[in-house]
Amino acid sequence: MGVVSVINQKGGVAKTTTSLNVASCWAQFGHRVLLIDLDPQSSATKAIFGDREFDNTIYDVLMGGTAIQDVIVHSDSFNLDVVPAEILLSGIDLQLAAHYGRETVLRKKIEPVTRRYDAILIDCSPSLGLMTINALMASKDIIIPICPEYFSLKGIELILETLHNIRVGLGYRVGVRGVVITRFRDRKVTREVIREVEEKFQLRVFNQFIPDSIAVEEAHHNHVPVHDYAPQNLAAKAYRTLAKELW
Amino acid sequence: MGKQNPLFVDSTLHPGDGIRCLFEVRQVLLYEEESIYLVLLNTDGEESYAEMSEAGTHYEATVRLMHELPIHFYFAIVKDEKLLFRSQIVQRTPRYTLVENWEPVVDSRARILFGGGSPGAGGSENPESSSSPEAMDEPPPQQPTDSFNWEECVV
Repeated sequence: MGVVSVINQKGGVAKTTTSLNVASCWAQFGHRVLLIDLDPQSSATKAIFGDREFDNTIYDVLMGGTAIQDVIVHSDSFNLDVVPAEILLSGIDLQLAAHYGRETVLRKKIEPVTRRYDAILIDCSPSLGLMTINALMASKDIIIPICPEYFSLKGIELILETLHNIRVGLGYRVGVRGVVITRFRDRKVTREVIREVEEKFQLRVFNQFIPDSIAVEEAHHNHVPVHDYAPQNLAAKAYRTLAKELW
Repeated sequence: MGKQNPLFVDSTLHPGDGIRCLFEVRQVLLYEEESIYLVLLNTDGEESYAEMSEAGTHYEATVRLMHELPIHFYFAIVKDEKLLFRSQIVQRTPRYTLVENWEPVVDSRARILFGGGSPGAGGSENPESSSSPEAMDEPPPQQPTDSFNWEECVV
């Protein structure tokens, strides 16, 4: 599997929800999974650990001499290892701007643990900045969650343009594993958007769509994966099926 | 030259550092016994060329250039050492990859490189070029900069 980034430059498309639940499903299937939270808002960290504070986070790995092995925290509820984030990540673009090799800091820092895991999932920030570039330069490929609406098509355009610019300017080719449809409601416009993703962008759309469900948010609130919170819920079942399809 | 996002500039390279640049030309169709070449121009207007190889939906060639220092080049379709079509001379800033779409024009100056073959049928006429003597003596539309290092270009 390698390193995979979950990315969309549009917010509110269930990136973090998808990262958490897919990672947790993979772990439940018996795989060794590491989830790296690279979002200054620390959504993934908070969803898993609540208000718990961490002395060392991914920020300390990227900026300081902290080894990544020393910041990894295990979550029993999600059954996976996590590298937590913090708000200081919001200033890291300024701090790394003049750094030699600023684009590949994350790749170098996670290298010592890549062989330890079957999959490393990076939950990215929605903004295009140095952290997102680092995530992409560390990744073999990406997963793009979208809510099937008009603006999601513009989001995909932006991502593909970013991947193109990385190939041209940084000499690194990142693959697109596929597009995940989230917050799915069966409407005509939804189907049209999905068809356009496949035809215009020639991207794979995973067969399993994730339906809109309040259980997902409630699971976040309770700091457990949705397949534990409500195993019979449609979204929970969808995430399990999607996780198998993604693997 | 367009604006550049510094996020996509390799911080480990300085302008002028050697770099292997992959040229890709897309939307081009070659017929039997035709070849497509990348033609680079140095500061003296001299040309060097690399035959491009097919790579799925495009043709490509890798050339050693200098990072971030502008170059001038065009593409030429040749058959039996005679020029059939060529593209406009363009100026670009080389990085790891340069992707261009094939857009043919007809320019009598390009025949010098390939032995004076007559331009083929088709393609769009370059308004700057014609069969008149004045057009043959015209300087290139863009002058190559001093930064192009002929000696460093490995084809």
